[in-house]
Amino acid sequence: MRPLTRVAILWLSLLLVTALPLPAQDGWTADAGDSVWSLALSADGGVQVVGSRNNRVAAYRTDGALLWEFQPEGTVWGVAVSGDGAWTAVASEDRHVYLLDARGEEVWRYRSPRIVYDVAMSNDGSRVVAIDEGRVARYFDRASGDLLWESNLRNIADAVTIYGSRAIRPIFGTRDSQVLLYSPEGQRLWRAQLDDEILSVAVSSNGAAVAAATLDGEIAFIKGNNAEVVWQMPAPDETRCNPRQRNYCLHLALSSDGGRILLGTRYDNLFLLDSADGSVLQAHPTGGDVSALALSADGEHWLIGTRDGQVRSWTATGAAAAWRSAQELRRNLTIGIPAALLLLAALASIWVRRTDSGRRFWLVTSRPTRLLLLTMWRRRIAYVLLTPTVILLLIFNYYPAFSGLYHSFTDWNPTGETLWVGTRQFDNMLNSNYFWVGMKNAAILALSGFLKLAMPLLVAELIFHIRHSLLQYLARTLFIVPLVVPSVVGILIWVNIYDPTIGLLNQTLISLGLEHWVHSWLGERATAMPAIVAIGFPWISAFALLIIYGGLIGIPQELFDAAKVDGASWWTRFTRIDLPMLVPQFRLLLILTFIASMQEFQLIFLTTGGGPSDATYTPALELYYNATLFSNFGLASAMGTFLFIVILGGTILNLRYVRSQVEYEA
Amino acid sequence: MSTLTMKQDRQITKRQAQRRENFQQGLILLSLLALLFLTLVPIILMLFFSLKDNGQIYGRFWAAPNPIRFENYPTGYEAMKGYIVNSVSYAGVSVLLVVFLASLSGYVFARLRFPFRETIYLGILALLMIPGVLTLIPAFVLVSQLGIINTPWALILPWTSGGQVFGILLCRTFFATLPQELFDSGRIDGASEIQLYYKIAVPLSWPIIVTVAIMHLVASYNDFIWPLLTISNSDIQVVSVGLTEFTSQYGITDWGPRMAAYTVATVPLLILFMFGMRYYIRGITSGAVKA
Repeated sequence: MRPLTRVAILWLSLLLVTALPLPAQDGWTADAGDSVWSLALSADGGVQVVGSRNNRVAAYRTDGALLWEFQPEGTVWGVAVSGDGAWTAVASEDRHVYLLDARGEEVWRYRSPRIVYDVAMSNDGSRVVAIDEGRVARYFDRASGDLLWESNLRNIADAVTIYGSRAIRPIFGTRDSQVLLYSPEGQRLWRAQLDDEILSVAVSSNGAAVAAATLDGEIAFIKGNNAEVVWQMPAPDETRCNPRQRNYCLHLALSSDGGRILLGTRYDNLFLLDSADGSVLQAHPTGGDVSALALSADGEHWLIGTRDGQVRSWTATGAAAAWRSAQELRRNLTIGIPAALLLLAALASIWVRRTDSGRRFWLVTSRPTRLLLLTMWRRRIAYVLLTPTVILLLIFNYYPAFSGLYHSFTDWNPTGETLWVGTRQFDNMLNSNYFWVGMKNAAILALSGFLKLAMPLLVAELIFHIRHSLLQYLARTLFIVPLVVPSVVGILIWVNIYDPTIGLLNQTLISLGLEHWVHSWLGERATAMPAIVAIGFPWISAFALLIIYGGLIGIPQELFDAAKVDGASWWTRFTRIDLPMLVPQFRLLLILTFIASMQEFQLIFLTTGGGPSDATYTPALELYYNATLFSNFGLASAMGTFLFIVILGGTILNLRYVRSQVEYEA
Repeated sequence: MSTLTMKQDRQITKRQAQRRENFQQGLILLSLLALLFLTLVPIILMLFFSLKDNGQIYGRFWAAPNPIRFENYPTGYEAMKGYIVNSVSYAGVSVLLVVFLASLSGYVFARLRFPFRETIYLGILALLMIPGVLTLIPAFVLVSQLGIINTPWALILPWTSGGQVFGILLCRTFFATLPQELFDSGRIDGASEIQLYYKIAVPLSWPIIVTVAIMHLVASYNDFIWPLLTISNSDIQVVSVGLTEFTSQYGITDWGPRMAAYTVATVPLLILFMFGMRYYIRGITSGAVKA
């Protein structure tokens, strides 16, 4: 017993020690005080330059000691540093390009007519290239500060990089989705067309590989000799940005051999990708939206800046170790927890079997459990017969429900890596204009659906008051005939009724002489939603009719007799007997109408598809489009979860409120 | 006042009441007739157009079909035939499975006593609270990962699983009303639980089983979004989605044949309701009582 305990404790502590993550504390961190818009590193990482929104350029040593500071008059949009760290170029909102020496002293400045957006410096420090808000690229000699040439890029460029030692060529990324390579003489050599604004470009030291990140969240890998796009894929965490977020959406850097891509995203992630196929080699959390990033030529130093002003220097070895320990932690937890549980079970069984105290404890505490298990064994036939049902429900109903709830907190990629993103999908959803239009339309559908219930109520009352029993039966049957029409057919016929030329509605208006009322009902913004609401006129739903009529039949005859004796008018009878007695039926119909309206898809999909523009969007339609058109499964799951909560809340509210009414009436 | 005039008075008021009653009844019937006509307008329009060609629809909108284009129906039938066969066979298989599983589980919950009975039952009923939008995308991913996407099983298995829940509710309620003596005598005669199920419970419960079957058949036939999401091969597609794609599939652009195809698509439900309207209504109303 005693030695066994000791062995067990040893085992457990071993497990815990291996499971603990190694702290990956190497490199330094600093607070820039404001958004870090630009970073640069010398070839060996010995000089690390930070440019931030608060008009500040700061250079640090590898160990994080401050080398020098420089303050231009405006936000620093770009910094660049030569390979040896001796020269630094700065692009600023104050419309200047500055050149600084190894002590941060200004050597020369160039006055640009417009804001300077970015700057790059060749590895040997001989050439500087800058781009400005006026769409002009300028190519300088570093030593003299002379402008060698300038060229109009025809669109604003947000990113520039440069490579080469003898022929030093700049590469620009523009807002009209082009990556442009220029010769040292200012001639355009090639152009690669991508799908959205270029946010960031990087090039290998020999120019053979070019990588670019675009606003639609894609990364492209381009061959440097012929501008061929080798591959293009979304960022691993499926970052999506709008143009206002372009400064902190995606940033990338390329290793000098072009074999690795370092990618930072707005979703607080840093990825190391293999350039061959874009596969993820490492993933790290950054703790903030990545707004700038740099990689030293030797690949050993990484510098990451975030929108909230944090700068963190990493070493590649430290990052690799952190990644390994994170992986190990994950592995150890998956192995370690079951192993620890098994061990505990083994210990417990030894205690119970080998010791008197254990045996006594077992006999006393396990009695109810053993009796229950015995009963369950005797009645096992019930469980056997339920097995197929339960298995089907677990696979096709329970699993998807929990999967949906879980994946609404992730960036779900069913064929690749799924990342936990917290409540970001919900943020995206709530910030989406389509979503709010959809919720408004769902609310319109629900409210109009409630009001429409008056029609089946009216018809049910009328049928209920028919004296002739055969006629009564006939009326009830005829009103539920529309049930035989498949729901899709019913909607498609209404699409035909709304047809601008041969639609029954417009034809009727024309024959009544009301030509000016003619509309393309489903095609116009103002009429589309009312037209959808009006579908099914006169809204005598067979289902609601059956339920309300069933409720009316169920009202005890004595109540009506009593009303008659009291001389109650039909209105009094309707409000004092019929309506209160129909409350359970209406509670059900209200709930079902609410649930159906919140999930309305088919009606919209078959009539307008959400159009014109976004006039008839519903949340369920947007959910469907997000999954099918944009493969954005995480966002679709978040919408599903949100609608589930809304429906559940609405149902509970409905039940409580309507029930309290009943009690009040009774 | 003499008794005679009182009698006359009473007769007059009685006649007046009678007249008012008749007037009321007439009003009720007239308004119902008007509402019925409006309700049936789409169906009338469908039948009306299905006998015209495009020239007749565009040129003489209100005129009766002349000549009557019966040939629209063979065209429409040709287009819908495959979809109808698919829909009916998938829904048929699913109905058989649902009827079997729901009646079996309903029997177990109603007639057997075992630990955790109510827990499991509530666990099943809780699924009625889960809306389709929550499970739609995860279920789609699930069938893709199971490799049954774009096969009939992608429809049959989820339909069956989801359809059971309401079926179990109906069956349990019905089985619970059967007299206990029947089962006791069966047990004394040495019948096993399974024999009690199919020799006593099932034969006595045809009405509820037919109700479950018809409710599920109608629901499966009308399902739209799930086949739209999971079936992309037109050869194995079902009616509801087929209705939206047959125009491009068969090059039918004229409204006449389209309306004829819509009519043809209605026929299976028409046949079903001719036999089983009664059972369907029972399903709806008994569901309402439970909820």
